Amino acid sequence: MNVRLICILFFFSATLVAKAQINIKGTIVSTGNKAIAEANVILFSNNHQDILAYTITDIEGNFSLKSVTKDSTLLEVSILGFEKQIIVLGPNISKTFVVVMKPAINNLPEVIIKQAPAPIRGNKDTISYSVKAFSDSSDRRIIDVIKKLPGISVSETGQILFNNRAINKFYIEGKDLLEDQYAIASNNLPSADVDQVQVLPDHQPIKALKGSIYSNRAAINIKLRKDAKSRIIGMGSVGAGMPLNTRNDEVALLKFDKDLQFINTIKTNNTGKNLDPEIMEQNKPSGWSDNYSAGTPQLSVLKPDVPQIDQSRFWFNNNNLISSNFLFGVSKNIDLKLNIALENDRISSRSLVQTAIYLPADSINLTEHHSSINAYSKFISCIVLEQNTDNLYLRNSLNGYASRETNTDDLLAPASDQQLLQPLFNLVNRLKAIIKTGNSTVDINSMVNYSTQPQSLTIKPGLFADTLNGGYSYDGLSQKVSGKTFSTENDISWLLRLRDFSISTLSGFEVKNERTSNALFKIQNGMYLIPGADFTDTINRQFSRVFENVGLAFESDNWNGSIDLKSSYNYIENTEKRVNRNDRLLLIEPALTVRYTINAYVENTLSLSRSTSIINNGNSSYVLVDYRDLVNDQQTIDQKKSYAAVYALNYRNIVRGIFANFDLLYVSTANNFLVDYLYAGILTTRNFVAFPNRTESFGASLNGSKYDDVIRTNFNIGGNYTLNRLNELQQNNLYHIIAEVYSVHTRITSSFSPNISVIYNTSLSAFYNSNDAGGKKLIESPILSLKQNLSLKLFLQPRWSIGGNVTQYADFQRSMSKFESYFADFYFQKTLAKPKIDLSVGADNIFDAKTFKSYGYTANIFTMSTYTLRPRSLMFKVNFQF
Amino acid sequence: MFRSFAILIVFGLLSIMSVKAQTSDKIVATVEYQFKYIKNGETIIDDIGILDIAGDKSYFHGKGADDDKKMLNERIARASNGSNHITLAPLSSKDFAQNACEFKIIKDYAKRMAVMVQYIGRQNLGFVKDTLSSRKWVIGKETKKIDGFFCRKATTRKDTSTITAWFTTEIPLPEGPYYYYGLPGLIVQVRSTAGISAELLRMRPVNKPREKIKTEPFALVTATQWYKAAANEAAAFKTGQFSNGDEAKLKSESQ
Repeated sequence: MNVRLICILFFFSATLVAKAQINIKGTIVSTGNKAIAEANVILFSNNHQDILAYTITDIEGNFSLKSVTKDSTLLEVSILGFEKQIIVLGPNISKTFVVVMKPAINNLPEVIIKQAPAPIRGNKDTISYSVKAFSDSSDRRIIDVIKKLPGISVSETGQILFNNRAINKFYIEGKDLLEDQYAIASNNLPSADVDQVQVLPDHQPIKALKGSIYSNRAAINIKLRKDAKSRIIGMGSVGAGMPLNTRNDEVALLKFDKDLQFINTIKTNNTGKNLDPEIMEQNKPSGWSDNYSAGTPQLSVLKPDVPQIDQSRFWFNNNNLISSNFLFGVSKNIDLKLNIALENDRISSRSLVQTAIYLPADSINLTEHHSSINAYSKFISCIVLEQNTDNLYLRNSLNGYASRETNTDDLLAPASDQQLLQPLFNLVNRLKAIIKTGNSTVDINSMVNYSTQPQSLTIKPGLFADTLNGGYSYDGLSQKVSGKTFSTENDISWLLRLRDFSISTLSGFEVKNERTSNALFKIQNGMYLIPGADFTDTINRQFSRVFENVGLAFESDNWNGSIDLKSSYNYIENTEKRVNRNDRLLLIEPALTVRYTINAYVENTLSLSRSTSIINNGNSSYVLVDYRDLVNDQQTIDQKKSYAAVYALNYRNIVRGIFANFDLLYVSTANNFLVDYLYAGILTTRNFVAFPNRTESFGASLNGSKYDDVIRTNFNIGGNYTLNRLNELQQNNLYHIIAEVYSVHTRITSSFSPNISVIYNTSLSAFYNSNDAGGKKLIESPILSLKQNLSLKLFLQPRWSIGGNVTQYADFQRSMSKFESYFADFYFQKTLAKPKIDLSVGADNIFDAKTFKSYGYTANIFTMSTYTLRPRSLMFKVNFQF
Repeated sequence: MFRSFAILIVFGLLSIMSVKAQTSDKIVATVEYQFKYIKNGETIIDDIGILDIAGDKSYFHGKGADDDKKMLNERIARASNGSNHITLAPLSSKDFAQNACEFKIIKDYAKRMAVMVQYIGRQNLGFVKDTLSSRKWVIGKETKKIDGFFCRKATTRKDTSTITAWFTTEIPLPEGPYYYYGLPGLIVQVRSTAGISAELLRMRPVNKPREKIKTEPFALVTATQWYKAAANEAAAFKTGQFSNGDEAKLKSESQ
């Protein structure tokens, strides 16, 4: 029974299916009755939504379709070059068709999928960051975006670092308009006009040296948007605020054409914003300058240490800057560059510094109330003619620098007025020529330098009456120092490349002539009197050396290495009023660098070197370098023989957006002198004593960043450790001083929503100092220093934005009270699209913090500084861009 | 008279054939896909796959591999500099595109086959990867807009892997990247469980077709022979190095 029932059911169902199945066959032909192959034949449901069956015609133009439906259907035939045909079929129709296709010009559309550019992409030679991906609607200058890029950090002075190493070039469309003063571009180039920020790792800027001399530093190249090329770009702002009648105005005009690039700016402000870093040469080592000779004593007005708060909070300035920078493409490979800047500033500051100098027997305490004004004007100019081709590199640069600086400090305690005049003039010409022929390269360098620097420090009333005036008071002191230096350095080198190896030899000479004179005067009733023969001197320094360097370098895909041996014969002759000194020194300075690229992501570098530096600033007289420091350097020639080991491990994975670096540094220095400090009241006398003295320093740092493009967030974390061991004589006791600094820092930059931008920074540092003298060990309580900053921006519709930031600073020291400061700023902005204008109002220092206090250690000297801050202020600003 | 007439007819027929050949084998459109092959987490291929479509065939090839070939030819031309002695500058793995698509797919519409071609050593070998008429796609009801195109979802199976494609009838070309073919519209996106994926980047139609598809001559072998040759070459390549010492790997898909 059951079997019979199943059979009946099966029969019925089969009948039903057969009833609903339709068979459609056919041939597709053209109007000329030619078969059309590869035509799409689709059977749609009657609502033209569902595809019931489909096929493609064969070479004979035939097709066959089967489907199951009771409803009417649509048969669609399409192929390129013919009109689409749609045939309505009734229900349950099985039919054979001949579909005739009419020719038509149904050209395919051009399709370009506009994908959002990948935030980071590239290869070993170029890493491209999409500016659009990393910017938010409040970013106006390209530096605002560069700061957020994974693997890149920007120092407070505007120096850009990639994987913790300073970049060597900042190109705009492949041109080096600004040389080392690239902050002019990074601060003034509108981010909206930039398409990509490219990083060129291991960049050798001289084409003729590519493949011959390895560079481990990266360069940045700015790729502009198409519509920003060849037109004048402009941006600027006008701002006015209160109190203090603050202003912040600037305008910049920029153009980046193939044969002409320029950036011209005019800026003025009294809001505490320092414009000086904008024209700073970013690749000059900190504290180094070729503007003056190291042999001329540098006078100064004693100032408290720079606090860790933002400069704009304590900087009462009146800063003006005009800069003009042109690059002319003289021919395809020759550029002429002209950079001029004129800056002046008047900075006033107030501070209280309490200093404790811990000595074995007792401690010396000083309290100084500073009220100082620093006014300067400077003019910087640079003319460069440069040719950079694969076989020839020529460059001549003429740099001029002239400045006039006045520092005054009205010390309330101890009562003393100081005034320092410090004009400086410097002219340097550098010529470099590199000629590459086949496997060999010849490099010629010539430098000529001239500088003058007269200085005058006047202190009223006269101090140290017991020492300088037999105990009788007098009107004042005047320290005068003048220095004139002429130097020239010339060398020629030859480099031969043999497959993976290159050998080089360099020969040259340097001649330096320096005339320094110094005199300390007592001022009494308008008369200038020298207190004694020990306070005046005239020195003629002659320094000459010949040098020969030989090098061997190896380069393959994974390995780079170089061995250098520098040798020099140095002749030093100093003629002073009372002493004549001369010395001859043969110096040998070897160096080894090895780099190994483990894979596409990881590379490490080890450098070992021994170097000797000669400090020829001996002076047998006493020079009052600031109001309470007398310096006497009778040491013949100060020498520092250093052994250095540097290890760097770099990781960069642009696919995962991870960048990391680990660096180790160890330097051991054998000095032939020791500094002897003698404290007598407020007077410190510094003598240089011939004594073997070894100092050591060690540093370790680990930094990492990860960019997550899903939540558009960049995470940075890092840690540093530094250790310095040094020796000093203080009150005739030998001190072994150990200074350690531990620090960790994090930075999170996020635009996880198009309407929100968040930046969170935190850094925690611990300063440990210990010293022992005369068998007594003194471990000072560590200083803990914390800084946290949260910056938030909300982009409201339409084109409104509000934002603010809150910062906490805290200094802890166990035996002292805890210092804590909070700052908050707020702004409100409306953006107009056409023309591109931002109208904003901002409030700074909302909590109206009056002072900022911090602790500091320098060897066994502990300082507690209090700085007067700018008051709460309001600023109305209009930013414009065209 | 008859002879002259016959010659005229033959000549005329030849002319018609050649005219037909001139129009049917010219490239009518070039489509570019971001083509990837990721196997066990390792990126084997990440290249721009170029699909040239003509009336009688299509040709899928990797831009990275094309660039490598161009670079090598330029270097050889520069190194030879007109003389017979060639001293080629040292080449390293970094001179070549990373994760380039080394193989090509030629889909011959008349012969109904998709041939995969790749240099195995010095030999250009091809085998029939798929027959153009055998693949059955199941078109589902799922639709979505991709890059402005109304797309439908279709799935099929090949060996043990499932292939999911999104195609659009707005572009009436039954084509797609790799050996994928046979849907009633261009494939806009495709992903297979074996690790192959492709996304449409751009399409350049050729309004006045002039260029033919240019393929290099190859020897057609069976799939078994092809894979055996590849395995032999890979074994020989274990000691293969670039001139700088980099290990050289033979890259091929193994689906």
